[in-house]
Amino acid sequence: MTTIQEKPVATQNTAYAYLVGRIRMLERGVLNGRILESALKVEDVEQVVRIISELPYLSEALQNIPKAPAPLDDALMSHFWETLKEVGRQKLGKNLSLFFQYSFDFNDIKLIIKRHLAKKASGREYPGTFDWKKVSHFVSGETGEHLSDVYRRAIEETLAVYESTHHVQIVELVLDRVYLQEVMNMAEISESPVIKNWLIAFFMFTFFRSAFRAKYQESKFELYRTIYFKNPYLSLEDLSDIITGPDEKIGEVLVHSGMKNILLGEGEYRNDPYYLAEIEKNMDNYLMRFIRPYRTLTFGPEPVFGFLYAKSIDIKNLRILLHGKYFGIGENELRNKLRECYYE
Amino acid sequence: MRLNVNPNRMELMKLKNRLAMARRGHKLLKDKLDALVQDFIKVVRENRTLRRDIEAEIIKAFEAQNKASLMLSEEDKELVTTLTQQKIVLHVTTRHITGVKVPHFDVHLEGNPYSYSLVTTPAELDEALSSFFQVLPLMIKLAEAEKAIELLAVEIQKTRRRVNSLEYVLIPNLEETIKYINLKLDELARSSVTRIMRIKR
Repeated sequence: MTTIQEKPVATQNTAYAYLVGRIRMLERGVLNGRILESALKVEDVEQVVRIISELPYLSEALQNIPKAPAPLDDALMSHFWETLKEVGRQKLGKNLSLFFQYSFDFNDIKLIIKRHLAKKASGREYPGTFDWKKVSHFVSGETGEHLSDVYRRAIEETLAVYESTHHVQIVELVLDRVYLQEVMNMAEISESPVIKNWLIAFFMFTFFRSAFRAKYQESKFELYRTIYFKNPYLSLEDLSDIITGPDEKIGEVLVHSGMKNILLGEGEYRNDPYYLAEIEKNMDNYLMRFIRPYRTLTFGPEPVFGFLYAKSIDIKNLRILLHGKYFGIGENELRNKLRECYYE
Repeated sequence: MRLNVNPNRMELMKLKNRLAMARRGHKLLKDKLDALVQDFIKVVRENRTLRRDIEAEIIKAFEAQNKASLMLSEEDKELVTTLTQQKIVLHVTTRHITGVKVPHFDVHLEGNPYSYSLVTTPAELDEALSSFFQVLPLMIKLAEAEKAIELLAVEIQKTRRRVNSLEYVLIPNLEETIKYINLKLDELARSSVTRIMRIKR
C-alpha cells in the first residue's frame, strides 16, 4: 500500500532528548484544569482571553484578535499549526506530527473538491502541507501538477466515485477512508508500542463513532461501506450490526471489541445526538488518559506525541470556552462538553 | 352634497335606479366585508399559533447550531455548508379566500440532508441540521399565512373604503338630489295647478 510515511529507522529513545527538552518548554503553555475552571466562571470572551493570557505561547496567539468566533478560531488553528510545524521540522518529530497534519490536509482536500463541485470561486486557504493552488489545479483536471501519490489517488478516486453516484457525502467518506488507512499504516510502522496502541484505539473509535452517526442519520449501509477497508481490528459485520441492528446489540459489539467503557451510565446505547456527543467526549478522554502517564518519560517519542495531542485537545477546549461564552451558553453545559486536560 | 342634475322626471327615475343599485351594492359589499373580516381573523389566529410554534422550533434549532459550532472550526463550517445533497421543491399555486387570490406553497424536501463527514464533525451537528430542516417547511407555511394576511388586509381596506363611500357619500347625495328633484317637481306641479285655476276664473 502506498503511504506518505517513511518507515522509521530504529532510534534510541535518547535521540529524542532535544525534542523532549523543547516540549518541556512548550508544555508551559498547555491548559490545565484550574485555568479551565476559572475560565468557566467568567462572564464573557474578553475575560476568558485575559485568564488564558497567563499561559505563555498561547497568550501571544490570542493577542490583538477581535473577540469573535471566526478570528479567534483562526488564531487557535494557526497557533496549533505553527506548533506542529515546529515539531515537524525536527527529523524525529516529522512522523509524530504527521498524524495531526493529516486532519488538516484531508480537510483541505475535501474543501477544494467540494468548492470545485459547487463551482465556487476559490476562497480563503486554510493551513496544510501542500500548495492549495496546485491541488485546485489538479482537481480541475490539470493532472500534470506534482502531488503526493496518496493525495493524487485519493482525489482521483473521490472524483470518479462522485461522478458515478452524484452523492455529496461520498466525497467525504472516500477521503475519510484514505485518512484512516494512513492512520492504520502509521500504527503499523510506529516504533513506539504506546503510540501504536493509541493510534489503534483512535482508529477503532473513529470507526465506531462513524457507525453510530450513520445509524442516527439512517444512512444506507452501502454508503457506509465506502468508508470501510479491511483491517485486523474491526470487521464489517460488527459495524453492520451497529448500523442496521437494534440498539441493544451495540453494547454486545462494544464488549466484544473491548470498548464497553465508552458507553455512558449503565452501558445502554441511545440513538440520540447528545448521547453520541457524550460518547465522543468519552473517546477523547479515553485517549487522553491513555497517553497521559507517558508524559513523565524522560526520553522517547511518547511525551512529544502526548504534547501534540494535548495541544489539539486544548484547541477543542478553548473553542468550546470562547464560542460558548460568545453565544452565552451556560457554565454547566460548557463544563459537560470540556475534555480532560493533559495536566489535571 | 347635491348632484348637479336637471330636476326633471327622467333624471329622477335615473337617480332612483342608481340609488336602488347603490343600496344593493352597499349591502353586498357590507356582506363581503363581514366575510373578509371573519376570514382575516381566522387566518390571523392560525398564524399566531404557527408563529409561536416556529419561534420555539427556531430557538431550539439555533441552540443546537450554537452547540454544534462549539466543536467546529471555520474550515469545518465551510465544509458542512459548501455542498448539499438536499433539494427543496416548492410548488406555488393560488387559492381563493372570499374572492381574494392568495398564494399556496407546497414544500417537499428531497434527498439526504447530511452531506458531511461522519468522522470529523460532531454529533450535535446532526441535531442542528435536522432541527433546521424541520423548521424550514413551517417557515414557508408561515410566509404563506403572512402573505394571505397582507392580501386580505388590503382587500378589507379597499372594501371598507367602497362601503364607506357608498354609505356616507353616494347614497346620501343621491337621496338629497332625489329629494331636491321631488321638491322641484312638486313645486312645478303646484304652480301649474295655480296657473290653470287662475285661467279658469
